[in-house]
Amino acid sequence: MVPKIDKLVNVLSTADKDVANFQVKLYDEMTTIEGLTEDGMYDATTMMATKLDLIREFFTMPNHHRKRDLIMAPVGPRSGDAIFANVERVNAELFTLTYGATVRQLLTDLEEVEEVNKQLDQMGYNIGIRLIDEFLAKSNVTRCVDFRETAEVIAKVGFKMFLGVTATVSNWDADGTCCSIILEDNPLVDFVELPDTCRGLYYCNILSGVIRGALEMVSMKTEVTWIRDVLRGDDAYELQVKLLKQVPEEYPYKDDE
Amino acid sequence: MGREVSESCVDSLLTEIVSTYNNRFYANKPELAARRIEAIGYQVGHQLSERYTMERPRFSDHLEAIKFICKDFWSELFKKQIDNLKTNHRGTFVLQDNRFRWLSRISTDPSVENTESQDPSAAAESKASLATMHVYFPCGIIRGALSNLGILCAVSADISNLPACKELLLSYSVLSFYGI
Repeated sequence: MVPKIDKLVNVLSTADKDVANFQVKLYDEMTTIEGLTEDGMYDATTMMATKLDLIREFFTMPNHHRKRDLIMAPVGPRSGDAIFANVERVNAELFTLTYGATVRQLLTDLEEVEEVNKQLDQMGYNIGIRLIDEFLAKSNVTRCVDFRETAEVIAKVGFKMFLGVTATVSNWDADGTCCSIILEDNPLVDFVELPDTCRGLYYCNILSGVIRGALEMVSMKTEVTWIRDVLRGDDAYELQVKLLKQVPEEYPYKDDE
Repeated sequence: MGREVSESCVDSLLTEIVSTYNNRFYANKPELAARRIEAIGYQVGHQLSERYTMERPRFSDHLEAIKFICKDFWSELFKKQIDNLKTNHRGTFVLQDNRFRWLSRISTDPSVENTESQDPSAAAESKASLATMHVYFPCGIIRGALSNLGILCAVSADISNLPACKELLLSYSVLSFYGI
């Protein structure tokens, strides 16, 4: 055995030794990146270990970029179906009925339909600002290049991984800052019929709040309004999402200091 | 198996219901918040038990109905049965779920957690009070489900037996109810 190993060392060029050195350091470097899971570290190390140019680049860039460009990207975004198949799921009836009972209780307590709309939106917002973390962690999505991509990701991945349904995106305006997310199938409204006394109620208003809250956590101020609602006699659920302002990220990144 | 949604949907919604009623609407009146949350649960339990008993014969006595809650009904909701059922044969039943999902992920205020080393009982107490708001919904569900089966009852939960553990996990809960 020993002679074999000697031979091996002998044929290594200086450049190869560099690689070996880098590879040893790689894992240590990885551990300094916040928010990277053990699996992610393993995947990234295996992927990069054979690509010298990638490793060299890796050592010269700040943590923020490493995570985005080298680690998240190669693993690749996962499809909504794949994520939904792997998350813990529960009986949708429980969810639908709990939401229904909540709306009903809010109507009793607040009396004004307008106020109920407002509270549902607020509840959604609060859920959205927490749910975005789970979304980013499980979906592996990379930074969206524009708002068009953002809308597609919400419709195809976001809705699917939480509610198990997909939505479609359409009705873009000319500058790509306003679109419609259309939902044909909506688990929130199974078994629901609205009585005449609830005219003016946006029953699914929690959804618009969730989208607004989640996008705000990734630096996008949006306005989300209902355009069509099956419970009001339309043929689908249509949410208009309008990008108001994109809060620029602070640069230079400070996490290396 | 019918339609499913991600468990986070239900978790997020329940957390938000508790926070809406307990922290926003009735910030200083926990008993009012509790009543509203229980009412939401009651409504849900009532409707669910109507759905789950559609194709069943009528239950012959209370024990049969309660066994149904412990087995089929609980399995539909939590994919597991109640771990233990006790009764004094005079209308009181105690249902025990050793790993109750809706309490298993409650974390406590980190500032309280820091003091745990000095006073573990105080930390356990704060866990319990935080968890208390989260038991009204399941209590309501059971009361609603039984009321749909023709059993009027009061349901209360006891989570005081939480083990004084260091993890941020509440893994032990007892739901008991008293038939009238």
